[in-house]
This record gives sequence, C-alpha cells and structure tokens, in this order.
Amino acid sequence: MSDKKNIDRLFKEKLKDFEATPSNSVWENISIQLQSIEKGKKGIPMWWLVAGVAAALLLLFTISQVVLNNNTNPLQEIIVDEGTIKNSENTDLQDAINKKNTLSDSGEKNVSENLKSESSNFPSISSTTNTGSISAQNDNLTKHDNENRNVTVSNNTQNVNRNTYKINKNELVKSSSEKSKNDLTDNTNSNLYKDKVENNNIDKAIIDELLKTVNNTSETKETYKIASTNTNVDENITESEESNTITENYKLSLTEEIAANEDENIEDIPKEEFDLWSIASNIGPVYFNSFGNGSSIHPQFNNNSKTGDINMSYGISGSYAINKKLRVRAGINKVNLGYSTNNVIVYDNIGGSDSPGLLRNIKLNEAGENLSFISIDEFNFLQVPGILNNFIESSIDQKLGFIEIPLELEYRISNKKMGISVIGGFSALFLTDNEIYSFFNGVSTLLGEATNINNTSFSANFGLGFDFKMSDKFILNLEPIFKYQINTFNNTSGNFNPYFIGIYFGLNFKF
Amino acid sequence: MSLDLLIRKCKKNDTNAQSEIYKLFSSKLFAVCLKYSRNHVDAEDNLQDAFVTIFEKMSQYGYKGSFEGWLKRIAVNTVLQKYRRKGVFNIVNEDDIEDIVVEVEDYDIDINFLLQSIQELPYRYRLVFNLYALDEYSHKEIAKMLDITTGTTKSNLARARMILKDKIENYYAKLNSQSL
Repeated sequence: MSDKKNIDRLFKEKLKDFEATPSNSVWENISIQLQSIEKGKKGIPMWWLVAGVAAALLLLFTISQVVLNNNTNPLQEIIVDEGTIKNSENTDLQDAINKKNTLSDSGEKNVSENLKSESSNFPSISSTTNTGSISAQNDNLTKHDNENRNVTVSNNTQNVNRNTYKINKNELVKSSSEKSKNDLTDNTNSNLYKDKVENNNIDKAIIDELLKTVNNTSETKETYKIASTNTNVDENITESEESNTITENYKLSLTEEIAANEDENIEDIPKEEFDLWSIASNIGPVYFNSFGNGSSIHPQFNNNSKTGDINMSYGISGSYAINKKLRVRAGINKVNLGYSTNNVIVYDNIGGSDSPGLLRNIKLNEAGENLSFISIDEFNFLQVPGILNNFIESSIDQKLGFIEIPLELEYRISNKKMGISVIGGFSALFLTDNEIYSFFNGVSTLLGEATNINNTSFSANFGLGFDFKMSDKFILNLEPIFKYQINTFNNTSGNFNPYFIGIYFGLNFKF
Repeated sequence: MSLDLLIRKCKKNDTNAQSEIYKLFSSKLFAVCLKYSRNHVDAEDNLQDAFVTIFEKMSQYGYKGSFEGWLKRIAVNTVLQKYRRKGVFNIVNEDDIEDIVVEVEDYDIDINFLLQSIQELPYRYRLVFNLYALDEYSHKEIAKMLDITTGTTKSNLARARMILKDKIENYYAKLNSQSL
C-alpha cells in the first residue's frame, strides 16, 4: 500500500517525464523579440532612423522658428526705417536743392518736389518744367549739364538698375542691421537716382531745348554766367559735387552689380556672403575595428578573429564659414563602439588556482571573477584546472561609449546643387561606458570592465561630405568619415590599432 | 526534418526552424521553468527569455553533448541569472544542518501538488532542491552557481526537504480526512 521513499527520489521520479504546454503568447513574444534582435544585428532599426530624422527636423524647425521670428521684427523695423531714411535723405537733399534753387525756376522746384513725393505725375511735371524752362537760368543749366551726364549712365543701365534694386531688397531681408543700413543708403541713392533718372528723362527734352537756346544765345549765356552771383556759383559747385559723388558711388555699385548680373547667379551672391553660420544634427551607424593583429585584452588573443560591432552615433554640430570654400566646425556626439574577440573558451575555474586564462586588462566583477578565458588556439597546450564539462566556445565582447568632441575643417570642392567637400580634423573622446561581456552558461553576462582604456583620447578624422540643398536654408548631408583612434588604449598587445568608420546622415540649417 | 538539420537552419536564423525547435522542446523546457520558478507566470517569462537566448546563441552550440541537455542548461541558467541579479538574500538561520535523509510515503500523489510544493519553497531552497535532487548537480557546483558555500547549500537542501515533507504529510492528512 505504502512504502517509505526518499523524498528526493519521489520528486525525481514523479517529475521525470513531466511536461507542460506554455500558452501561445510565449512563442509570439519570442518571435517578436527575435525579430527585433535580427533587425538590430542587420543595421540601424528603422524606428531609430525615423526617430532621428524626426528629432532633427523638430530641432531645426524650432531653431528656424526662433531665428526667423527674430528676423521678421528687424525686417519690419527696417522697412519703416527705409521710409524714414528715404524721407530724411530726400529732405536733406531737398534742402540742399531748395537752398540752391532759391534762384532757380519753378520747373526745377517741381522736379525736387517730385523727388520728395515720389509721385509720378510726369505729364504735369513736364508741362510745368516746360513752362519754367523758358526762363531757365545759368545755374540750372550747369546742373542739367551735370545731370545730363548722369542720364547717359543711367539710361544705359536702367535695366540693371531695376535688377540691383531687387537684390538690394533681398539683402535687406537677410543682412544684419548695420549692413542693411548701408544697403539702405545705397538703396535710397538708387531710388533717388532712379527718380532723378526718370525726371531727367523728362528733363532731357528740356535740356535739349535749353541747349538749343543756349547755343543760339551763347553770348548771353556767357555774360549771364559772369554776372551771376558768387554765392550762386558756389552753391552750384557744391551741388554738382554732391551729385557727382552720388553718381560715382552709384557707378561703383553699378559696376559691381553689373558684374554680378553677368554671372547670372544673383541668388548665390547674397547666400555666400551671409550664410556664415550653420547648425546641424547628425545620426549614423559607426563600425569599429582595428588594423593589424593584436588585442586590447590579452596577448593570447592577438591572432583570434575579431568582429567589429555596428553601433550608433548621434550629435549636433555648428560650423562657421571662413570663406566660400572653407568652413570650420565643432560639435558634440555620443558614440558607442564595440568589438568581439572570437574563438575564446570560457569556463568556470572552480579550482580557484591561478588561471592561465586570466585577462590582463580586465577587472572582473563578481559574476566573472572565477571565470577563465583561453584562446582556442592555445587550448591544446594548457593544463586546464577545474571541471570542463561546462565550458563553451564563446567570445569576449568589449563595449565602449564615448562623448566625442570633433573639430574639423570642411573644404568644398564642388558647389553645385549637390555639393562635395573634403573633411579633416580631429576629435577628443571622453570615455563614458566601459563594459566587457561574455556568453557563459547560456547567457550573455557582464563580466567587468577594461582597465586599459584612457578616459581621454583622440582620433584623427578624414572623410568626405556630400550635401544636397533642399532650400536656401536647409541642407541634407551624408558624410562617410574615417576616424583613426589615438591613445585610446594603453598596454595593448600585438599590433592593435583601433579605428572607426561612421556614415553620418545630417540635416543642416544655415543662417 | 532531422534535429541536426533544424539546428543548422536555426544557426542561420531560419524562422521556420526556430518555430520547429520551439514546438519540439517548449513543453520540456517549460517543465524545467515551472520547477525552478515560483509560479506559472514567472515560469512563462523565464521560458521566453530562455528561448530568446537559445536562438541568439544557437551558433555557439558545438554538438558536444545532447542538444536537449544544452537547452535545459540554458533554461536553468536563465533562472539563475535572475537570481544573481536580484542579489543573494540570506535566509534566516543558516546554521549548518547535516545532510539528512527524509523519507515520505508514496501514495498516488498528484504531480501538480508536488510542483506547487516546490514553487512555494523560498527562492534559494527551491533552486538548491531542484539543482541537487532533480538535476543532480553536486553541492560544490551548486555553491559555485549560487555564489554560496557548500555548507549553505547543504543546509538549504535539508530545510527544503523538511518543508516538502511537511507539505506532503499535510497533504496526506487532508486526503485521509476527506476520504473518511
């Protein structure tokens, strides 16, 4: 009926063939987890990319909002200023003209009034000037002579004048207040001048007529000239000088702008001048490995195969244009690196004696302190202590994290819609994560940390940049950059020269 | 499809092969997880983690020893890993107790009751009892796995046996009172 049984045996026998079916959700969860691991191994998970780009866009959108908002206010002010400056300039000039014109006829006055009001009542003006021109005086003549010269310039370049006017408008929007002030004066000059030109077009007819009368009555003209008052002459001189300087200034700016028009690159000119700064966010996969046979862990692993990990790097940077071709940039990135030393036998060193597989450069934690590691190459030659029924062929996985501060120069070799640059510089790397993992007894276990990694190290960087202009302000870029690490590890064995390659994808905002 | 072929396909991350392997071994491994965990929910969690590790590390299976043994070892280690992560909590009264032999009567005892009894053991008692009594690890190995001394494993084992004995005796007592 009943017999006494060892409790261990009872349980063992009863539960020997015990099986139970888990719920279906277990497999579903497993397959989901496996899929995400697969994706992680194959490359950057899609959501990472999407999230990265979204974050970048959001960041830049915010920045652009701030910058553009800051810009709109000054712009409005400038527009207001434009009017007042123009008016004041007008009135200044007007005053001078008025002063001078104390002796001048009503026609001239009408012209100056036209300048002031900027109205285009050409027919009425011409009619009044015509009536006035009959009684035109000497000083008026000289002035007209002067302006006549201007007319020739302006007539030739009137079309250009319109173009440049547009450019000035653009510049106004983009430029700093100081610059815009200068431009404003230019602009006002050009406006004034334009008005003058328009007026002078009308005056031309008058002048021709006048010249005729003058030619006819050259003697009268001479005598009148002599008879004219000194003050009048002086004022005439100052006035003509004034208009000469205006003309000359204008001529200068004209030649510049004509040259610009010849290039037919009106948009490029202000861009190169004003987009001094840019800010960019970037994200991309980085691949870590080393040149040559060597190990950062132990000499016994020098010839073991090593597998570089693909990790992520992300960060932001700002750049400043030294000139059209050269930019200097700096930033801050988070970068994770890792590699695996393969063909390592890991076993529990239960004997606790000094192990031949002790890792020179690793400080083991509790989980790892009794583990021993041997390269499979050396396995045959070693007397391995302890039990070996549990050993497993594994790998030692080193994972490192850095904060990277790059300082780089970017030289543009092509400046089309698709731009190409050469990038060179260096980075300072500050260690943030330092972990050693290994797969043991069925699970990947954190074993400790490496003791031979410097807290601060450097890298020499060299790469190419490809950028694609989305708009005047936003630029997409792709930068494969090779970074050769300097002074990251000490006490390495063999020929261990670590490097990493990043394919950075970024969004640039220029301002 | 032979097991070897399935394993080879699994090493190449073939999803169908993974599903086949799961179908073949999930009920056996779930039994292991049920014995080592404190309840059904935890057991399912552990089973899930164990299988993820299995498929992740499939490439490292070197055909040394039985595949099922390898799978079971991973399942057990998954549970132990969690135990290690939680830290070692000393259970009161750790005095060394001699390795005692506990005997109980063997009626037609319900297997679910036995399983429940194990699950109800304190965490470390459960692990030690499972490892020693059911999976035949030595005290030395268990001490190593759980990061405790062999004295402690022996004491834990003895206490686990006593608790289980009480449970079984109570079970029989209840059974008798019901049948009376």
